[in-house]
Amino acid sequence: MSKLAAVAKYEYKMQISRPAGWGVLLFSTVTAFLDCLPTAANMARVEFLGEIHYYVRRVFAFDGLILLFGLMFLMAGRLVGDRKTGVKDLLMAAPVHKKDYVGGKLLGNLCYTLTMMFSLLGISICGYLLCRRGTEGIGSFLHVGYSVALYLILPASFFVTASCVMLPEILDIRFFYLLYSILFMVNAFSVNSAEKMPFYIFTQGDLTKYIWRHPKWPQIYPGSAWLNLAFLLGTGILAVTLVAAKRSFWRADE
Amino acid sequence: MNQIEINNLTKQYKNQVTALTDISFQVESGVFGLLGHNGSGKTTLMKILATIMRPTSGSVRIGGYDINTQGEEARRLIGYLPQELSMYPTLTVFDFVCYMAALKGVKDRKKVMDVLEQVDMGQYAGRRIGQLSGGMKRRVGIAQALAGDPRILIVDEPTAGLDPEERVRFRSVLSRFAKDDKCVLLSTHIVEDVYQLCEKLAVLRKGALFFSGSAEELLSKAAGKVKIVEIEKEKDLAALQKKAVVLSVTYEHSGILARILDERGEFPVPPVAETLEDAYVYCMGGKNYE
Repeated sequence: MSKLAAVAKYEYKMQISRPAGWGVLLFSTVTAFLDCLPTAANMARVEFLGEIHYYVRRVFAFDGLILLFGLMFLMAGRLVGDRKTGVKDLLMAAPVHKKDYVGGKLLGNLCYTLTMMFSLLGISICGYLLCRRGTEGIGSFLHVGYSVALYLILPASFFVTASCVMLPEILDIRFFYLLYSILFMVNAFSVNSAEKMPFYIFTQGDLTKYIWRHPKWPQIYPGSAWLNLAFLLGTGILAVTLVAAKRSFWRADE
Repeated sequence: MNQIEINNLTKQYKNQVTALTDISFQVESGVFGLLGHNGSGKTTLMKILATIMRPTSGSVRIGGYDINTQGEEARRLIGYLPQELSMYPTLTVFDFVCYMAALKGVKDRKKVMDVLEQVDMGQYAGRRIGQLSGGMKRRVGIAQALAGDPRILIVDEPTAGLDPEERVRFRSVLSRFAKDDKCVLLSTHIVEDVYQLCEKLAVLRKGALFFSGSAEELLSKAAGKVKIVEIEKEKDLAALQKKAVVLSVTYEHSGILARILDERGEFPVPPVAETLEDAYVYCMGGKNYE
């Protein structure tokens, strides 16, 4: 096993065994079911809930956001914590390179976020099946899984994971929490719009229109969606690059 | 054979604070003690030897490898236990040591169990680190340092805060490790640990090397000079301090007994047997009881 894989494996193991993460998933699931399950009461309140694509997109637009917000706090101290507890000194005294450490931390936490997000996807689809009103075939479920993974879960998870793990090493962690709390808040109170909004953020951006489009505004702006993707991936890549380029982060001989 | 060679080592931080000044000494196989007060530069020196920090000038060779140019090779030879270490509380003892061992290229889980047995932690392998006592955590710390079968063990204040039983256990582990032509560099401010374990030692004072040699050589610095004198009042202590280095003071019903180092032979009482602690305190310039 490579050293990067070893760091990733134990990082994942540590994160997945934290009860707080499962608590956030449980809370998100409960709020998702209360708000989105296609029950008679919810169907009377919310249009399109009987469509699996709308249902899943709605789950992730708010409850997925709650999940990511909770995970933010669980991932934000992972590099800073190692420095404060002396574990980083142990790692630097071992034959481990900076790329193994940074890459392993990122990969381990990304796998953790993806596990949680796909768990929410799986549970929400199971909930939909139990209350199913429509007559969708297996193809619809496969398509919704694929499109949510590609347009929402993967880019949003990378954006949040890379930012949370890396940026507190560059910024004061209290400032980071403030900045990202505002970002999540703005996202939570954003309403799906027909306008071009490339930087409008991770679970409501133009990219997510590929999952479901409002019948009255079926227009998709590909350029805007690409910019949305670039914003999510670019911010994550920038965060990793800043840590990789920080000279005082690791031993002086690397 | 010299396991560690330090030549003219100086470390100056960016804020212009000089932590180490022109340090030179060699460490052979066995347990080598590094004594010094808090803030004397011990931890900075240990971090340089563990290849975490670079010296400003001078050279260090670990097992023959220059840490400035062959750091990777040097790192393969060392096991390191830092002074401050809070391990991941959610991992089990076994997983944590497996993790550290994997980073040193050890894949055999049986070898991980072996090092846990060496530090008497085999029976707690499945317990989470957050559930361990302070002494047990230190033992896990030494187990991770032993993983990968290092030739040189660098341990920074390993017994600080441990109860006597744990300290004895710790000393046994270090002593056992050093018997196979390996080397332990033990940094501490507990003279008793050095007295029990080390044949050779160095004393750091304000970032400079004050002494390097055998325990007997350090003892000889105080030989025939340690005396016990009785004084009646506390205020006499100040006058005594002007004439001699006061090593320690004991308050008794009959008066105050001061253990002093009488360099000029001004006190007409017979000397008593000197201890390593006497010699160390003497090196450090005595204690201030004012």
